[in-house]
Amino acid sequence: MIGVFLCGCDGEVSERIDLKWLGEVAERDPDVGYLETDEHLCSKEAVRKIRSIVESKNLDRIVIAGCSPRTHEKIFDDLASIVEFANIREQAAWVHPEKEEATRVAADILQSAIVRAKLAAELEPVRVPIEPSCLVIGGGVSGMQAASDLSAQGYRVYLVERDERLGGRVKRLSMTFPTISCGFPCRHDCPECELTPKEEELYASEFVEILTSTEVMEVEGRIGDYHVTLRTPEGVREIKVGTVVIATGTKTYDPSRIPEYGYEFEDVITSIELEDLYMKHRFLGGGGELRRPSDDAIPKRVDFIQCVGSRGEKGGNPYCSIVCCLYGIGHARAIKEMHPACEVYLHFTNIQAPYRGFEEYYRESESLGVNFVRGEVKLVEKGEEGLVITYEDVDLQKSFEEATDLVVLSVGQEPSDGAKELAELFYRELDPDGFFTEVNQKIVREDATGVFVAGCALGPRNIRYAVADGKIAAENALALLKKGEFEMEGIMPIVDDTKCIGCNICGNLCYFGAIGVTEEIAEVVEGKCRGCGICAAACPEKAITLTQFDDEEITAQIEVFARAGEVSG
Amino acid sequence: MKILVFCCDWCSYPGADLAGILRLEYPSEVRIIKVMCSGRVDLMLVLDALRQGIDGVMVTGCHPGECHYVHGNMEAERRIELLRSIFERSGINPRRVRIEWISASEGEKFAEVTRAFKQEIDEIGPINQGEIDAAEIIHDVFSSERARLVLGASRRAIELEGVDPLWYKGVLERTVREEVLRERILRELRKTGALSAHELAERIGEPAKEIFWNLIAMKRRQIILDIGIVDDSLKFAIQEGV
Ligand SMILES: Cc1cc2nc3c(=O)[nH]c(=O)nc-3n(C[C@H](O)[C@H](O)[C@H](O)COP(=O)(O)OP(=O)(O)OC[C@H]3O[C@@H](n4cnc5c(N)ncnc54)[C@H](O)[C@@H]3O)c2cc1C
Ligand code: SF4
Ligand code: SF4
Ligand code: SF4
Repeated sequence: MIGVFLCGCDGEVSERIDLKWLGEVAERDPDVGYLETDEHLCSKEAVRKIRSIVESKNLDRIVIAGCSPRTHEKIFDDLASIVEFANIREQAAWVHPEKEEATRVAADILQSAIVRAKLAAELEPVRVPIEPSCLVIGGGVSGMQAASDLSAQGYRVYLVERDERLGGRVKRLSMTFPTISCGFPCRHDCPECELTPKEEELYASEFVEILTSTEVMEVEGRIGDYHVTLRTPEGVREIKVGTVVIATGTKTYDPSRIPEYGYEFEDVITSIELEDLYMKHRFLGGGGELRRPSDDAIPKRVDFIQCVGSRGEKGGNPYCSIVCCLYGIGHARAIKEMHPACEVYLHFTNIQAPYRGFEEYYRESESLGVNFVRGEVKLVEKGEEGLVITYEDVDLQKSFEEATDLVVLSVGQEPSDGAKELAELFYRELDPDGFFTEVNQKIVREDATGVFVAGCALGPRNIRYAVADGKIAAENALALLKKGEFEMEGIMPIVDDTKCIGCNICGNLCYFGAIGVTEEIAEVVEGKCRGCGICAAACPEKAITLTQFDDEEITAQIEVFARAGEVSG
Repeated sequence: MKILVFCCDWCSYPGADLAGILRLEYPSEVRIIKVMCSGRVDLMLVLDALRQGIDGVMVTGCHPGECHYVHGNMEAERRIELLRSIFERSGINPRRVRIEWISASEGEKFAEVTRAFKQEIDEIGPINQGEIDAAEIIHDVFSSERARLVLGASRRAIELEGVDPLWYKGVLERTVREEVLRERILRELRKTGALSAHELAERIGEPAKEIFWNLIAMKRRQIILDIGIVDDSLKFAIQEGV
């Protein structure tokens, strides 16, 4: 027997739709055995009441008519074995101002939900066990943090890094901003510090296996049970893990793509090369000196060019790379502190750095004498005396052509090499810029992959956020690992083996490798299927039925809509 | 007038919700059916709606590249395109079906495209009996094996085996047209008993030559048989048990 609960939504529905009439329409259906109207179905009391009614009246199926299931699905979902929603608020009350019209539409929506409730099969939730281990791909700050949190809880972690060493981008930074003392992993002014405490901790942990110079070759499996083939210096190796954290960071923009900036000249360097210069001289015992590449002279003038390869400037990537204002200004200031006589220019079109304390930081560099110039840099070329930079100053409405000693290009960040291949291996989506997307970015829903992404792999961000991401990814993975199993909604294709001809059309269409012909007929892999139903729509033999959104349900809904008007008449 | 809109769970359904949240008005003829993915929409379902007298069917999904199931929306597009080209020659106005991309943040677009679709259906008028009958035939074609096989294998052929997409599209359209013709032949034979190619051509309005070749193919597949020369022409009838 079906129970129908109509919600007035505090007038949002009840003032725009004739709920009394709607109730009558529902009651005309012989399968509807109970009807209740409330102004606040989502309130605690109402939910309690529905629960007790379901029990006392022995309702196994209920229809909730009110707001979109997207609003309160979770509140009602476990009130009966079958719960269907009639979205009469978003799809009727709010879009059709005429009450009569809205009511007519609502009646159709309600009836279609009722037929769905009649036909819906009770879903057997699918439970899959979770292997108590995690693969972390990428040993930058983000991946290291994730590995550290996971191992601290006693789970086996494989930390895979394709470089020879852990540390990622941060290990190449001579100083980090805005804190100057960067914290984690601390490399500030400590050339002697070969292994940071974090790195040591990871190497010391009995739960972490660090695999450097290693890459992922192949992935098989599903949430809780991934078989991953690795290419290690010792050869090919296979591991089995329950969860995965992808923290592959970014690569920096290659400025030779913008010829005007003169990257071919020795004294035109990227910000990363600036870091290398500092490091070099620090190791050589030069203290904190900055010496330019061509002749090891301390430059008398340095020009920073911002947004190189970012924000659509000169054909670069459309997005802002987030950290280059921060480190550009940081370096400009640091140079001014080290060599007060050195003239420092910073060419920008916009400063973007919404960090706590950044404004003060920016003012400070101004008062130290860094020249902030708003406007485009037209050309960096080599004159007879050395480098010449041509730029405009929008505020002064003037163009300048001046000699300089060193040009630093504040390069932006791009998805790291191999991100696309990795995304394909794990069936992950990339955004239009090529970065990984957050789990179900569009709507927050439970993840059904056990694969989490952290740090700059999601798009440029600073160290602090990258580390925080690592923690979040570890939290998410831990939640799964601790439960030891994953329960998914059982939207699943079922193959009728008397009809299947083994054509494997389903297998070719399923992006997730969840269905396919192994021997003679198609088989479904539990835990891999995401319930899209593409296979069922394409099967030439109509051998696939779905436990939800099956043809039978949909045709019944179509019928309701096709004969609508006849009933309400 | 009745308009059916298939919405996918990830993009266009929340998009429609947003239209509601923004209190955007859209035609009250619109009814929504939710599916997980636009790629779930079997053409049989679209045709089922039309044969039941629904005047227009719109499939909506995530923008290209944003499908939660990666290429479901592209499958949906392939199917709707095919249907439109089949309709072109089957007496159904192809404008009765369309596909639209609507993201979860495009409430405005949901309202716009439903309004535009309603206007389009207003222009072409309510679905007529001829169109309903044709939809019935094409529905049956898309519930039988041959058309489904060729359609279902599109992705494999084009993307995995490197078959030229235009060529495949041609094969696909030809196959479905042929199946539609065969279905119409069957219906005529069922109605009248035995008929010759010329008689069928007259009733169906397609060239006798084409009909003849299809009769031969159907005979080979033992769907029909020829019952010999009657009144100076070779007549065909439905095989018993078909
Ligand atoms: C020039 C520059 C200066 C910066 N300065 C600052 C600053 O001052 N302050 C600040 O807060 N932030 C700064 N940042 C940003 C900071 O570097 C990032 O926030 C941080 O490095 C992100 O860490 P991550 O772990 O996400 O990625 P990364 O540090 O990029 O690490 C990713 C790791 O994954 C590895 N990897 C990639 N692909 C694979 C694969 N397929 N398989 C295995 N391993 C793989 C890489 O080798 C790398 O070790 C700066 C960035 C740049 C480019
Ligand atoms: S952070 Fe600054 S320099 Fe970098 S892209 Fe954004 S605006 Fe340009
Ligand atoms: S598409 Fe259908 S018939 Fe073909 S293998 Fe899959 S289930 Fe079997
Ligand atoms: S429903 Fe979707 S995910 Fe599941 S087997 Fe079919 S195509 Fe694959």
